[in-house]
Amino acid sequence: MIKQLRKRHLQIWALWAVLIPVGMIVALIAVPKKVTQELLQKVAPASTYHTIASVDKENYKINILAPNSVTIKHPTGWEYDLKIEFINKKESSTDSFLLYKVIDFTDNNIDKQELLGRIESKSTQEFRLKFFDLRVTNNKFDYRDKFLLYDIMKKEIVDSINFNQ
Amino acid sequence: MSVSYAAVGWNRQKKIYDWLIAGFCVLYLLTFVVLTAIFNPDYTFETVLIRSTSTLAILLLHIILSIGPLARLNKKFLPLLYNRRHLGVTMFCIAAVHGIFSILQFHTLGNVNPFVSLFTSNTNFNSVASFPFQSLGFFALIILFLMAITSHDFWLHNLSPKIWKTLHMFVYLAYLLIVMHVMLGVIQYETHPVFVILISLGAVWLIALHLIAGTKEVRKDNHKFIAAPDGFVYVSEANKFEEGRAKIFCIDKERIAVYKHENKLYAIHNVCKHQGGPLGEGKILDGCITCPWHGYQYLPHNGQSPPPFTEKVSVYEVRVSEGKVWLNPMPFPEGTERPGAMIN
Repeated sequence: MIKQLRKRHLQIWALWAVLIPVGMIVALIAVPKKVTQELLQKVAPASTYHTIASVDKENYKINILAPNSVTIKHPTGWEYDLKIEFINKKESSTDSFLLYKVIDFTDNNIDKQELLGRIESKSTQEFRLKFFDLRVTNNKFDYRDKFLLYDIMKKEIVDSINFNQ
Repeated sequence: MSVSYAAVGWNRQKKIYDWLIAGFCVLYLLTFVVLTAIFNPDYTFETVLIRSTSTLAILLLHIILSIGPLARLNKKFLPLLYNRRHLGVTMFCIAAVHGIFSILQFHTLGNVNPFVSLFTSNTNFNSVASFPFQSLGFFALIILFLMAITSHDFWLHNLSPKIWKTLHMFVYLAYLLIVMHVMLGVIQYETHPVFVILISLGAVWLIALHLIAGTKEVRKDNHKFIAAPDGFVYVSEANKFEEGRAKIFCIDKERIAVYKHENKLYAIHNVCKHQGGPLGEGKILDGCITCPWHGYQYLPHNGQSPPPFTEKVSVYEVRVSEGKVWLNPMPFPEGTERPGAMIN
């Protein structure tokens, strides 16, 4: 190989020896801090999120929140998580409830579903949704995931939440 | 080496090599799928496919980028260099599967053109954590695509070796883009440290390997030779040469390969006419100096490729006196007949 070409190889890798570690360190520093307790999360500032699907029941209301960057034109991407917001309307109405996301539609066994967290008696809570099914149908958000409210005291499913109705 | 173009110049070794590549890729993908099914059964098929092909493509890219410096540091790796293009095309195909399925999964659910969506769904260019990392992967894939489609000798001849080599050096930019694609993508939300560890180890390995091989050559190139009044320079002791192999000397910024063949020394220009390969790192096969990169051959005594081939390189005069080898760095015109210098 000609000498200049080999020299160019060396120059590129000398540059990469600086750029790659710097880029990696900057990226690692920017990694969002993980929430250590995922079952009881504080309510995050809502300004950067908006509601894309909602179900209103007598005792509670449930919203699906998406970052403001999520629009009808760009409904999905792997850069973000959605959130499910549980708004308790009545005190102590959901004391012993657990919120599940349905992942096995063929089996009613609660152990086969994904536990999102415990519902507190009086508060608004949010749970992160890492994996979700969000589409656009007829120029509207079409959120297809299904959720279950499970009463741990009675050991029974007390409600089924379906946004796609 | 051929006088006409064939789709792929397969021989027995290349077939074995390609089967090994295919076998390794299939084994890797199957292992990934099985391990995912055991440890993460919730993942969808698309996710498993996207992740398995991405990790396999990155692994193959590391192997490809290691072959060059490894072959310069140790001649045992030269056979890998002969077949590097096949590995490169395979790597592109696997990376393309990753890219296509990623676009299908993440950009085809809306009513916007997927490619428009790819570049407009996330415009957080001023954020590191939310940077649109998918575009980095897309540009890397474009580079790999251009390299894959021009990997044939047809393009090498039509683009000229200089442009072709420059184009293919963009693989280094592709590597940088891929590293940042990973760091700004999966690393930002993947809690397990295995990805960070692997990509870091890969980067350290490649950077170290290229710097070691590069600086070794710089040291050799910087060696000063002093010319005698007749223009010859002393380069080495005659007994330091190995039969059928060469030593490379950089004199006046020009690399010259001095080969020992049948107890005679022959000097030719070190640069192969095909892709600029280092002729001095090859060996003599069937009486011809054979380039280690793609097997182009030249006769030692005149620098011409054996008929019907027409490639020619410059030759130089060598002299052996009292066990010392002297070399005149002034080249003869390409293809000039020069007798070898007999080693006493």
